[in-house]
Amino acid sequence: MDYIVYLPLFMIVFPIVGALITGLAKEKHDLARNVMAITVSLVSALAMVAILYQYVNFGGWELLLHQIAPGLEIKLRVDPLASLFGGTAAILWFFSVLYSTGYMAHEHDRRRYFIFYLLSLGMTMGIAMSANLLTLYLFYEFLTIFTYPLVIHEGNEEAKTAGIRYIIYSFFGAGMILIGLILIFGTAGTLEFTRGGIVDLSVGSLRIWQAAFLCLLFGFGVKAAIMPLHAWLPSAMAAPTPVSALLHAVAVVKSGVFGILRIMYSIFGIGALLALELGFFVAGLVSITILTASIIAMQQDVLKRRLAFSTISQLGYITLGAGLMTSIGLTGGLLHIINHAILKITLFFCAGAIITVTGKKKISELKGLGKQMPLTMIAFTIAAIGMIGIPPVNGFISKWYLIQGSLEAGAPIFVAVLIGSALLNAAYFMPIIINAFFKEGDFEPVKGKPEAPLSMLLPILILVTGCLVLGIFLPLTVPYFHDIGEYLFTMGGNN
Amino acid sequence: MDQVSKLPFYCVIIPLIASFCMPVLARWRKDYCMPLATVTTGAVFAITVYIGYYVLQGNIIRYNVAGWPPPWGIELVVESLSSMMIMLISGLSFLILVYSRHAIKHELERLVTGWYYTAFLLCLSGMIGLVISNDLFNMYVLIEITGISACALVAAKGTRLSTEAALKYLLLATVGSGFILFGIGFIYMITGHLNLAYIAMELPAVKDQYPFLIWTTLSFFVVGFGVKAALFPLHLWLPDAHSSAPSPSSAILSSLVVKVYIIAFLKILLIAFGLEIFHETFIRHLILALSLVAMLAGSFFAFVQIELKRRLAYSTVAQVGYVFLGIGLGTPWGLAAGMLHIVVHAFMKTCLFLCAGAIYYQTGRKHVNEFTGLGYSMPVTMGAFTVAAFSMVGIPLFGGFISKYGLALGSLEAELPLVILVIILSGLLNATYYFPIIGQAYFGQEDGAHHHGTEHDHHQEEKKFKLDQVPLSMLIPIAIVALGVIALGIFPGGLLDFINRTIVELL
Repeated sequence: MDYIVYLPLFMIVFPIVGALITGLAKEKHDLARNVMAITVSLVSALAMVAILYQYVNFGGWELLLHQIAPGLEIKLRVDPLASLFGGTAAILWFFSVLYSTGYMAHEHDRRRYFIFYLLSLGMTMGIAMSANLLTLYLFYEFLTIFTYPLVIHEGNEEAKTAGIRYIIYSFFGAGMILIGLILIFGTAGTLEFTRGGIVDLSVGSLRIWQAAFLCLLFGFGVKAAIMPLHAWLPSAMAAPTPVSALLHAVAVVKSGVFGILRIMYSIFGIGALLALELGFFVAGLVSITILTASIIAMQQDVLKRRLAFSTISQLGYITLGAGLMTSIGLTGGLLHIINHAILKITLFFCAGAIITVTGKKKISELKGLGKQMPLTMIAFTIAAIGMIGIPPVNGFISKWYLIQGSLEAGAPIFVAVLIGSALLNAAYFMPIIINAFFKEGDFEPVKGKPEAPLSMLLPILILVTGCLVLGIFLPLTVPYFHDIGEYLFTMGGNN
Repeated sequence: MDQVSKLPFYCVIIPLIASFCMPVLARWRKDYCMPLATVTTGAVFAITVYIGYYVLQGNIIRYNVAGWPPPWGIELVVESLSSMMIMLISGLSFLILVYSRHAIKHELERLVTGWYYTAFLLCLSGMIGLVISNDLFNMYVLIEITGISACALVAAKGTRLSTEAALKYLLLATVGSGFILFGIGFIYMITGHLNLAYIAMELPAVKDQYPFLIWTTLSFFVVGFGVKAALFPLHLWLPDAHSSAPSPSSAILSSLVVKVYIIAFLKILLIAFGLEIFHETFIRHLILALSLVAMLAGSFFAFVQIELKRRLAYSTVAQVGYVFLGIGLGTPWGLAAGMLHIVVHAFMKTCLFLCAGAIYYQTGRKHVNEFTGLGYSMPVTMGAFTVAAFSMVGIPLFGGFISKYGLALGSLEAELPLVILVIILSGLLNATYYFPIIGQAYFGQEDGAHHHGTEHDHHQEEKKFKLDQVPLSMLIPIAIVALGVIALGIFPGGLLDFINRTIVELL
């Protein structure tokens, strides 16, 4: 029991140590390295489960690691938002490491790849469990630095350009966050994430608060790919598919969204946001992103790029839920964190499996693929249906809540946005499915090994089952998210 | 008490005597010069640590040289700021001297070794004296000693470039000294004193009589010390001097020599004039404007440099801007952050220049586009370089973050929130010229290594980490300074104690 309080620290340190030990295996010792990497991610996932268990039964706790100077603390805390994001990321990380062992078998520089893949896990856990803005900022910076080698992994011109673009966008965002952080600290005197917010509008001028909020919003908005700060994400698709899957559908982009949630609900709080009239500003901003990204997605022929624009659009849903300023809408946004994570990672895994087996990257080349790779394409279809928002796949629930939230907020315009986006989703996912199953093409049923290796197929099948389970057995998730929504949606604080 | 009060004097006189022993020693035993210089500096460092410990307990050491009391005699005063600075100066000089053992053999003619250490110790003694002296004329003498020996440190290499740079440095520094001397003259004319404490006592009574003269004096000091400390438009000598000097010289020039002038300026400003006059005369606004330009322009110039040491030198111009920004803000947080940045930057820049020297020692490469694969062949050096560069960019847990953070809070305190934008922008510019170096060292590919296609990549040559092929006497100082940068970022408590005491004492 006593040692359990150190589990959040363990979640950060263990992947780092594990990554270094994994790095000891030489380039050619693939088996040893794969076993190590899977073990590290499995242990991390189990530790996360232990944290969740402890949290659900006994409530959250905090852990002060170090005080740099008065007011500057490195501190971890387990609270609802932390367990939500941390849990999602840690468990999906295990599946994607498993998938990576299969996908990377034919790639170069596997050693470097796995080292940084695991380092990123530690940083993401740090982001999830940080108890104040400084700690969040610290891990956020290091996540950028540790994911850079993954983005440039291919080493060709495209990857290098993508890497440079990624670094420039991310550090620009980090700079904005730092400005916001300083403005907050200088005016409020603390950076602690507090239920109901720390912002006291009676201190300091409204302009400073607005400036601080906008800096933080656009700072985190870079990683959350809010338009027009999204351009790094499609080009980062030059990375190997497991990187795109995990980092660009779950960890990196969600850390941006997570940051936005934190500043809205743990730094500013509902009261301040309503007084500053910033909630609907956020919602309106991301509505544009949702629709524009969907329209651009339709024009993409490269499968991964289409998925990338779909990610940009879907991330908007989460932020939209946060911006609606109703508890139902927030619940919808939170549900979409986990639902979109599972759906999108499945889609990316399918895309990776297709690349590994057939070498095809473009949608126009996939005619008739359903005959050769039925399992993969069925999984892809189920996940795509979830994305569009058709029951019984889990994407439906979060959209349902979002629509309810918009109505409750008295802004039916956002219902129109959501439904319009669902139609656009259908418009860009259905052609892929129709192409694969109902068109004649180059692919025929193959005997022997038609599908990707088991280490890749297994995560796909488990995750797609997860999509269905979460979509059918609602009591598994919805009550908890409802509680989290209610918890965050408190007027508390100083207002 | 009596025993302690003599110690600051020893800190100046010991290296001074040792420096004059060097040429004599070098006449017979050139190899003994470096150990003697190192031992001397080590002893001075030990004394300064003791002084620092004593001062931190709330004491101020005053010593009248040769028993003549002020206002006529020379007075040495060690308060928190000076004790912090003399520890920094002697500590870093000690590490640089250890480093210089092999670096000097590699970069200098054997003939000048003795003279090199003469200049080094003279410079050390000048810097320590400058920081602790409480008397304007004595300060001026020590400014000259430091300046001339610093020129000698640049010229020691004897190449055409370094001679030219040293000459340029000498000429501009002399112009700077001229301005300072004028300023001192004016102050003597106004107040009739040279001792800082006595000037402070006299000034309020006479300041209404000489409004323009005080303004002129302050602006002369800004220009004079600005030239010496390379405040932006007056920085012209710095890039040549710092990049063409031998690496140990570059390290000491960039991290310490430039800073002691700023400390001297701060002392004159805060003790003799007081913040009130500083605010009234608009000199503060001048410094603020120049420092903001310096922060951006220095970074822009650094960005276009292709030779590593020149890039580092321009980066110093930008970082000096940070320190002056702290002074220009004129608020307690701003001043504290400026002083903190003096220390942090001293560590960072020493580390970077020593790394540049080590890279040159092992590979002979000087240009930033030639560092491909260095992350593997020189892991310790590039690791230290990465630490210092992260600190420069201002990533948390490294020293640079703390001072940048303090400066930003200071600008909020001074009600200039837009200054934060410049601070962050400058940090991002730092990233643009340090990260490509690191990226290439670790992830860069040799041209032609990647033409095989994916099939053959399985058999690509594995990159192995090999320990740097550099003598330990160079590697260990680099590692210590890099650890210092991290320690400053994680445990700045002790340093903040000194600075907070300084703020209390001086404001």
